[in-house]
Amino acid sequence: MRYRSVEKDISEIDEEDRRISIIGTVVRKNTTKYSLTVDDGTGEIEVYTDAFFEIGTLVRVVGMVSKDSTLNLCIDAELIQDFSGFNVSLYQKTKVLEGTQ
Amino acid sequence: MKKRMPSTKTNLKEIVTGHCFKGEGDFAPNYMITKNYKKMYRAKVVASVLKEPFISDDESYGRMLIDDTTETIQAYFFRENTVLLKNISQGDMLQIVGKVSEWKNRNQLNAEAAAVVSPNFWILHRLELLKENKNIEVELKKAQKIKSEEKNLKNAKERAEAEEIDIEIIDALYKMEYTEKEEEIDTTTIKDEILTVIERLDEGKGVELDVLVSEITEFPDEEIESVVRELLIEGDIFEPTINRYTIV
Repeated sequence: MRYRSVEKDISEIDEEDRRISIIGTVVRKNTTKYSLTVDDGTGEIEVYTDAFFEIGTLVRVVGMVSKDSTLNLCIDAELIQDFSGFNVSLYQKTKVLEGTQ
Repeated sequence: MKKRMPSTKTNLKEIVTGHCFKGEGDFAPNYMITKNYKKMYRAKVVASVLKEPFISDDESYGRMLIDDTTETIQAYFFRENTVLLKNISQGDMLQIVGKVSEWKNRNQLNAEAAAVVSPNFWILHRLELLKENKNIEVELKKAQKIKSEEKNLKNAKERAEAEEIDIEIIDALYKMEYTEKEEEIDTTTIKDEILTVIERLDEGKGVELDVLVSEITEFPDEEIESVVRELLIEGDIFEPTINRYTIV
């Protein structure tokens, strides 16, 4: 059985989460650690991946929540999508509308 | 000849939790009724491809794992539709049109068309679905009133037609009421099955939920998960480590 990806703001992520989906901007990349840091305006999180995106690219990350060696929450990415041109504010409004359903 | 039915906007959760029915009559198409009483002959979803698609050696079938954040399922491609998978890669955002059917107690999507779309299309689809479901909610309230006041389906349909309410919703209401009465799942059987599997496979560290789900194929995953929770609450099993279950 697979767990669906749950849409989260980075600030909402906690260690109980399994598969999540976040949308944010790449603000740092570390090619030696194979990681990207993604910021969505509510917080930032390190995403472990071998797919590197340029700093400033808007991405969607789907992956499993885990803890790194310093016990900080991080994401083991299963999928990173280039979301350049994505209308983030309309997306946020859509989520609010869906939540009120 | 079977009439080709149009697709209905939906999401993967509605597909997974919906109820499949065979069409009545030789040429009547099969359909699904969703939890919100939407009658659907063909589904249209927007979802992301989580893994590289699989195509069988003889190219007679293929599948891909898709997720739209409401649910994760495999979409299947058969015969001439398998070729569509050759242009699809992991990470693509797709609009998929296909028929929904039930196989081994699980609903599945049999894709007939799949096209890569921009991520903004995902928002559009979600907003359109919201609007459509809102309209159905309004019609459903009227349909439920008619159903409570009319003695039989024929009268209810006539009244719905006169009041310009979608007859399909009336149909769905009656069909689901009949089906729910017939198919109330006896959770005792699932409980027994879960306890038997744990007893058989537990070597001291408990049995993972994924293992339970793969061992018990005759019931849907969600049903097994919910009965596992029931057994935990009732104290018949406990969770020594996360996601592993053992008998008390």
